[in-house]
Amino acid sequence: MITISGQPMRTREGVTRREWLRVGGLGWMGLPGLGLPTLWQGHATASEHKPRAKACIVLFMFGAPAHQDTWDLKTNAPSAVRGEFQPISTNVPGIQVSEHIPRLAQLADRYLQIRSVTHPDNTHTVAMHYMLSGVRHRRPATNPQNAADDFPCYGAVLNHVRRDHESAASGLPTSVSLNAPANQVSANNHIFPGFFAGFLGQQADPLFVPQHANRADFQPLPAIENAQRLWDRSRLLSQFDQQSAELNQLGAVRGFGGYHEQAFQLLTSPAVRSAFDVAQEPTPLRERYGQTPFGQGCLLARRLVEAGVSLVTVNWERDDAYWDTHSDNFNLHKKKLLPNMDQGFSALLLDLEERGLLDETLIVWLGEFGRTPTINKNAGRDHWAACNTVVLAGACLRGGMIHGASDRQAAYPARDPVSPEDLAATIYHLLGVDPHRLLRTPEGQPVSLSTGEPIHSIL
Amino acid sequence: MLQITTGNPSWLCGGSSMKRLVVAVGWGVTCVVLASPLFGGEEPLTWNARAKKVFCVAFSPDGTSLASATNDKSAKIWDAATGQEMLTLKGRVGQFYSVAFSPDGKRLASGGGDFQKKGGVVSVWDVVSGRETLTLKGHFNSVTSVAFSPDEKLLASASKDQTVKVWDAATGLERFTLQGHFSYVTSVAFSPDGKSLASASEDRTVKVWDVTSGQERLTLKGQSKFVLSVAYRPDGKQLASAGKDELVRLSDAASGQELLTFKGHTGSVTSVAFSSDGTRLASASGDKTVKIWDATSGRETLTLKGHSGSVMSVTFSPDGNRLASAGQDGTVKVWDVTPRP
Repeated sequence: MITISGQPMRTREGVTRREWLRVGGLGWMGLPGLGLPTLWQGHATASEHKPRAKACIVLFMFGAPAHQDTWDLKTNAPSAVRGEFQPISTNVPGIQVSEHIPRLAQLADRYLQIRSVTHPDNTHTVAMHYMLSGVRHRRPATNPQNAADDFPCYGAVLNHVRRDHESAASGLPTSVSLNAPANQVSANNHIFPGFFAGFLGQQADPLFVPQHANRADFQPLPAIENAQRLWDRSRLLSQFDQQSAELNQLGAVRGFGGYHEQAFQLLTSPAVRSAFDVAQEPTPLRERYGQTPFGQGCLLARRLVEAGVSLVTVNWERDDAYWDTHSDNFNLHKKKLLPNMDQGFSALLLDLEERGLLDETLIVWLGEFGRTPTINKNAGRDHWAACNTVVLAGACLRGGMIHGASDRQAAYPARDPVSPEDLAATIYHLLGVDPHRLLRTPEGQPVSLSTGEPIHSIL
Repeated sequence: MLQITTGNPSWLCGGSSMKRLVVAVGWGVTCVVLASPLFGGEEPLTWNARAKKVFCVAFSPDGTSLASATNDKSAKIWDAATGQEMLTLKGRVGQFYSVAFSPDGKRLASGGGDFQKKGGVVSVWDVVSGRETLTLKGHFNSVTSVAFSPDEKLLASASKDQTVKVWDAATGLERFTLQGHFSYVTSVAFSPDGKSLASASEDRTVKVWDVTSGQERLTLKGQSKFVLSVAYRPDGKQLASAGKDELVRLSDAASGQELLTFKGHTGSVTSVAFSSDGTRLASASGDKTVKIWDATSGRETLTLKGHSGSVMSVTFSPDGNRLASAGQDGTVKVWDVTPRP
């Protein structure tokens, strides 16, 4: 895994001597992650079909928003269920959303809502794995940490299949995860599954950028004052690896030198440095997105996609206030969560549209599950995976549409249920990746990327 | 299929002292078999169910047949004495996860299906002709468990769509959809008086529903992991449930109070079943064993080993002298479990 700047993440594997040597070679650059060059390892494959979208931005609402207080309001439900918010009209006749997302209400013709997403896992960890990979966790009855047999997340799969993507030539990563590590560590120091490459190996992990883009000192890439010295150091490390017969027998480090060169490019490429330099954006635009980790994360995601990155995940930063509203659900949604989300998401839609990028960029807005129909005694809503809303935009999808429906209490799908498998198949289809393409586990076991089917009626 | 049978097949209906040997050899699929005093062990009658996995087995009310639900998208009815295949029920519904005979033995209900495309499907079959007489659609995800009410008038189905449906077993009309679970519903069982229905779920609860009104009566909480199976004791006063926490729990069916915990399995407990007299409880497990417990004391009385994979289903014969088990090794086994003084 690679993390640039900010808090280093713990790895699921221990640090080996070989890795320690690698860290020794790169650590002076402020790269706490292990094995930077391995980002580009993987198997080159031809793209299966022409993609509808060149790039994808996943807006992941870590903690799980209340679907019935955001998108799918049920004003006719009993008072114990319906909540405090009123629906408002959108710019699409017949479609209403929460009064606390007024900006998005005026853009309803730009996105489609899937109001019937359903799965069985009500624990954050396994639900995140399910929603961010489209595959149910192997041990869904547990509350697991990320593990080497996890299914790869969307970004990792794109790293794997688009290894030879044109962006790699400029040093750009294929997949980036923003605001990541802080969100992946729960109160008990638990690193969540669903954000990693799992059995594809760490080399396919997205590039993690933990530092918040709204910080005045945001600089995810370390300053390189002496590129020649860096190059010398990296070449030395490559030579060390090449000279080690033992290491060269290990698949994990074969071709290390080549990837090392690309890692060097990441740090020295002007294109990469420029893509991450969110400060280049004019202040009014930055303010339009909101000066929060999520808002500026959305802006950075646009910059990265514009530069050629294939998939950017903007994780909700729990410092903004957290979607897991077991108590005080309405105040938190009303005062902190929804306004922040409304601002960042709506600004992203308009900005992409103004730049002519919306049609070629898929935006996926999702949480790991929905929240309980019944309001608990702390004015909160608890975990509820049986029904949830996911929003898709861009990629020439028809906006102003609702696919599926929930029942009267937004508790269960009433029409056209959609599984995480189907959602994954839809996303991969739009990105030009065959959803049924086979991946191989380290044991050589072929597994289908998705067992679902694209939702043809929305395509 | 060549089949050689020696001895008196009536041993299979209970006697344990007779000479036992049944050998069957077939092309492609093998039924190797058994038998006990000849080989000096309590070996079960075993046959290959012609599929990689068997999800469920059920005895016919007269004890002569066994039905299986398998991952080859079929349900089969077997001669419980020989393991010979009598009928294959091939549906159009994807996987079959569950089978249950009607109390008169004339019909078999099967549950299966998949997500959305075909949805969960409950079928009712005529056991003699093999004809599908009813197809009940309405679940949007696979049906994991089916059960007839004791008076045969109702059919209940549990589903991965997180609901239980109660159907009129004669007309196929839906009576109720029971909502309240918030994860896959894994198992469903009618109370012996037919007035209540118990359901187990991956939401870590067991719920008891009023069959007349469709209202939830009780929620049994306290399990830390998925509940995979639930069964009523034949007196209707207690409920057994079991799941991923490797325990079997006996609870008061009226209050939900936990009475006993049966510890011993080292893997998920996938299925529980009472003997018809209610004295014994059998449990199948991912630890590849079946255990029989004294249902009153919670004492483990027997461990049946022989499956080479997770055991997915267990059921007593109506007379309580045999026990059928099946699982992920693709076999069905019939064990002699005649109580010995």
